[in-house]
Amino acid sequence: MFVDTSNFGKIEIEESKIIEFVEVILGFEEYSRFTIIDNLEDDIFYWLQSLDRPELSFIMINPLMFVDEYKINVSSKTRKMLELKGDSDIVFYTIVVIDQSSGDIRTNLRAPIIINAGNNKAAQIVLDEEYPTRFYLFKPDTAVEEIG
Amino acid sequence: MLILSRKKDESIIIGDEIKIKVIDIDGNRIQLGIEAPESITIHREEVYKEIQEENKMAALGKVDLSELAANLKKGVSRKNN
Repeated sequence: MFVDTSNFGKIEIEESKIIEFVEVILGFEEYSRFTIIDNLEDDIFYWLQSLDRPELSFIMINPLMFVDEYKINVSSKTRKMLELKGDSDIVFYTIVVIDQSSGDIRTNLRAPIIINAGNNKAAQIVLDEEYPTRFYLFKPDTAVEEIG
Repeated sequence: MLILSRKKDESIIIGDEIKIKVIDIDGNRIQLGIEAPESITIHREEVYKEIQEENKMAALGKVDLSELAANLKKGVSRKNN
């Protein structure tokens, strides 16, 4: 199918690449169909693109690249929702915020995006563990200077 | 807003399927037990709002990813130094 996107123009994606959110991204309840664009030049970012709204997209990372201790406990409820059969099908990402005003780049470790790679069902789950909603990946030098 | 008074071990029932029970009261901290169907998601309000807000800030228009990647790599290498 062809999908209009603000960042990549019109792109073609295979049906098998359609990700269906069974537990939606909080604040975006009306959008459940996305795809992940990961054939970008860098090896850090994954682009979560809405299939139904061209300008709606999120940048995601694999948090394990940035955090030493990060463990996701997938509840039985989530397992049922995603129809997960085993842990080997679990793929997860965290959403990145680029704060235009401060220049910060941060990621939300409290509410990862979890996907069943077996059937492409996805959910944003809220972890019971008290991981920060704002885990800073980058702060501009000016901000560091202001603190010092 | 409907306001009800409850003591420890007392409950309220919402609809046919949701029950909220006061498990314990300790000063200004109240422990609630909630029984609800699995299809209903339960969040602590402040966490819910925080996540909603972060998601809204994360939703993007157009960005220059290569610049971002460069910044991130700088940040990461600084952390490792």
